[in-house]
Formats: sequence, C-alpha cells, structure tokens
Amino acid sequence: MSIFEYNGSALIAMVGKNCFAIASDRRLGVQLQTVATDFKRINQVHDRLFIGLSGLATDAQTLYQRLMFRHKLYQLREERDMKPETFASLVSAILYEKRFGPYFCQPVIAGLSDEDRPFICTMDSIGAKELAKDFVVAGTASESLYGACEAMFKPDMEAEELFEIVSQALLSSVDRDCLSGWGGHVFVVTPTEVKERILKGRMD
Amino acid sequence: MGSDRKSEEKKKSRKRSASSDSEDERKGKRHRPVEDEERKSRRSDKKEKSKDKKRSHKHSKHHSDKEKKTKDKHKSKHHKGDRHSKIEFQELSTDDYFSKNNEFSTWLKEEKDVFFSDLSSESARQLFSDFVKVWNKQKLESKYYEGIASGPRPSGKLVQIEHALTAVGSGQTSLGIKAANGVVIATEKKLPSILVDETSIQKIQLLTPNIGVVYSGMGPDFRVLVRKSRKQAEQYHRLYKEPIPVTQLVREIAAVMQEFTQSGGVRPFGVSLLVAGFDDKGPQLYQVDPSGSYFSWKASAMGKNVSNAKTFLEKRQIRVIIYSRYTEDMELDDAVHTAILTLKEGFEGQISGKNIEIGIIGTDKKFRQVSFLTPAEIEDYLAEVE
Repeated sequence: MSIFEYNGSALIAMVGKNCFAIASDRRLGVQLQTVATDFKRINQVHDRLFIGLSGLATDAQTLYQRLMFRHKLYQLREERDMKPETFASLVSAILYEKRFGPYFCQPVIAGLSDEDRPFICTMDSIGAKELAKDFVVAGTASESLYGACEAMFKPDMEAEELFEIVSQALLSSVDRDCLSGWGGHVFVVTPTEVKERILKGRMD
Repeated sequence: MGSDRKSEEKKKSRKRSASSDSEDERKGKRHRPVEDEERKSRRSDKKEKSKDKKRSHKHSKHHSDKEKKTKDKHKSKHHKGDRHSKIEFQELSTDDYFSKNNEFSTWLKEEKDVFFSDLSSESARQLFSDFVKVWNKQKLESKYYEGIASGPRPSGKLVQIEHALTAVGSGQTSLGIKAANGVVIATEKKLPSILVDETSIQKIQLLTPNIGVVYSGMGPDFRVLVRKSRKQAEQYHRLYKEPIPVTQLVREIAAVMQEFTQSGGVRPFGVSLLVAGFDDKGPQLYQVDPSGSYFSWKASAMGKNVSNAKTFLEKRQIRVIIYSRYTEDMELDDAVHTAILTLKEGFEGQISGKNIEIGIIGTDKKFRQVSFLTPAEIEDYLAEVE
C-alpha cells in the first residue's frame, strides 16, 4: 500500500463560465478503519483562491500551514493577494524543496484571477505542475473521478449547473472507492460570492 | 605487529626526508628576500618605519609582536628609547586648527567633555591653543599622534553617509520623469578622455526586461548594486514565475544599501539610483539613496546641478498641469523632450547623441521593454528641441 492511500481521499476541481468548483470527500481513515467523517481537505487561501490537499492527512495539514505562512508574508510585503498562477508556482517551489523527502500530498489549486478568469491546476508530490482547462482530480478515487468527469463535463457551465455536475461526479466516484466517501464538501466560487455546501451520500 | 612497525618506520623515514627536503627548499628560497629587505630598509629607513607602524595595527596581535621586536632592534640602533620618535612628530601651531580638527574634537570630548560644534569659534580657538601646548609637550596619548579618522559628533549624523551623499552630489547629472504612459530616465555621459570608446560605456542598465536604472556617483559601486538587484529579480522570478514588481525590487535594493550603512568592514554605496519601471501598477519612478531610503517621484534629478535641474522640472510640471487641462501628467514624448532640455540646462559643452544616455519605458512596448535610444534617435529628439 502506498503512503498516499493511508488516509484515503477524493478531490476534484472544475471550471465553469467565470466560475469554478472545488470539492472533496469528508472521510479520514486509517487504512480501512474510518476515524472521522467531517475531515476538511480543502482550504481557503484568500477570497477567491482555494487549495485542496489529497494524500497523507498529517502532511496535508503541515503543508497547508506552511503555505498560509508564506502567503501571509507575501500579503504583508506586497499589499495584495496572490494570483492563482503565482500561488501555484509557490506551492510547486515549496514541494520541490523537499525533493528527496517529499510531503506525501497531491495538491489541487483552484482560483479566480482579477479578470474573473478561472484557474485550476494540480501537481505531484514534488511539484510538477499540470494545468488543465476543464477539470483536475486527485486522491485514491482519482481513477473513477477521471471517468465521471470525462463523461459529465460541459464547457461554460453556470455556477448552479457546475455545482450539480461536480457533486454527481464526486458522489458516484467515491462509491467505487473504499478509502474515500462519507459525503462531500463542495465550494462553488463566482466573482461575487463563495457558496459552500455539504453533501450527504452513502454514509458507510 | 612486525609489519606494522615496519610501516611506521617507513612513514617516519618518509616524513623525515620530506621535512628535510622542504627545509632545504625554504633555506634556498629564504636567502634572497631577506637580502632584499635589508637593502630596502637601508635605502629608505624612515619610510619603512612609518609603514611598519601602520601594518602592525592592521594585522593580528601575534604578527605585530614579531614586527615590534624587529622594530625595537632597529630602533636601538638608530635612536635610543624615545617613545614617540617612532611616529614622525610634528610640532603644531594654531594654524593647524582645521587640519587637526578630528584630533582636537576627540581631545575636547575626552578631556573637557564638550563637543567641538557646541563651542563658539573664539573659545574653540582658545582651547585649541591649549591643545597645541599639550601636543607639543608630547604629553598626549599615542592615538592622537597617529591620527584620528573621525571626531565625535553630537548631532548623530553618520558621516559615512554624508560622504556618500557628497560623492553623489559631485557625480554626473541624472534625471527621471514619469509620464502618464511611461517613464524616461536620462543622464549625461561625460568621458574622462576623448580617447575612450563611448559605445563601451552604458550608464543606464536593465534590471529586468521592464525595469531600468541609472545612477549618479561612483560607477563601480553602481555595478555591484546592479548585479545584486538582478540576482534578486531572478530569484523572485524563479519562486513565483512572475516578473518582480518595481516596488519590490526597489525595496530589495534599498535593503542592500541600508545594510551597507550598518555592517562592519564595508562603507555605504557612493551612488543614488533612479529606478524606472512599468508593471501592473503602471509607470513608476523611484529614487534610492545611499542611506537606503527611497521615494517615488513624478520627476527627479540628482548629481551635479540637482537644484537647478529640479527647479527646471518643477516649472515644467506646473506648466504641463496648466496647459493640459484633462491629464495632470505629460505624455511620454513630452517627457523625453523635457528630459533633454533639463540635461541641456546644466550641460558644459555641446549636447549630442554621444554624450547623453536616455532610456524610456512605455505601454506601447509589447513586453514592456525598456528601450534604449540609439545615438541616432537622440539626435532626432535634439533636432526637434531646437
């Protein structure tokens, strides 16, 4: 078993028209035993920038703390929020610093630029960026997520439709994976607001 | 065991032979330099001694002890046992009031507990004659006779920075003007001789493709700063994959310059910089001083003729505000004109494309590149000016 699969996770980010959605499951397990059913893998960096960290939960939390630390220093120094692209480069650089003893995380970054253009990206545990125009997935359920997203994605969806598609893709995928599940946590971000919703699915 | 001992013996013998070899070598080498030294010391005894004195202060204790011994030997040969005779003793008169100011003000602070600058000139003169008496009796500590670099000041002014600013003030004139749609920086490029190839000198330098810089003051110091700031810019770019904002780069440069006012073994930079750039926040012009302070300007000048140039720029700025009722700032082309005119104000001799340098940066540049005008382009602008 890979250490990436120790706690179990499912992450997804998808682009709509001037909006994006980022969602995760809520399970925290130790191998096959479920420990918590309200675990948060998605964190808000600033008003319109989110990062989800799949993989080993302890590393995800530590990495998130480091990233927030760096982002706060950046905000103080430059008196502005980071652009999503800039933040992705920072995450990549921080991950590669630990090239030979990495954080066992696969991040998913999603944000809206100042021009309301959505940005999504994922990377491996040592910071190789992968940019996508439509959707990105990560975690133990990533294989099923790919299938679901490829089947259900449509370009230029409005926020409500995007929420529906992302939620369906997530719930149907985690049912095919024993390490993730127990409902979902969805953020839909538009230029004007952030909608956070908690999903109920097969709670077992 | 047996083999061990053998090998040890081998080692020993090797060592011995090696050391004897090197000793021979040393002996062979040593002879000549010693002779040389002797010859030198005979040639210019006095000079040697004053040099020795200085050196012994700089070097480590251990070293200076050795030198002292040799010096003592010399001394006993030539003059017998006078403490101050090592340093050339100069008798002072009241005419040395200015040249010995540092020594005098140190003496005042230590003996009389007053600052030189707090005294009236009469009482200072009075006290100086007392000082001269003590000096001539050779009753003062040796540090006074050795010379003191800077006296105590009550104002808290850092003289090193004052010196750096003097270096800037006597440097060649540079100026910068921020327009509505760009920035222009310009400088005069006076060469020490007509034999210097003017194309080999670039006083305006790029820090990143969208940030240029010019200086007044010491050229070599500028080069150091350019190298450091380019490195900073690249580091920023490597981390964020985004060009460094002008403000950030200026802050980094200023931090370096500040550090050099506070660190040991270094002196402040003898340059002021004008940093011109164009980024997300639009056109920007900054001046950075040797103290590490920086300001954003609409237009600024530095170097020789600062005050004249600044007055000229102020007048121009007011005129622009009056004439163009819609925009407060001038356009880039006007700014280039103004820059050339301002340079022309204090210019000694005929201005030409070869003895000034101009850099502009505007929105029109696709990659917001600072474009350097070729001598031909400058000639064009000059023709328009006239």
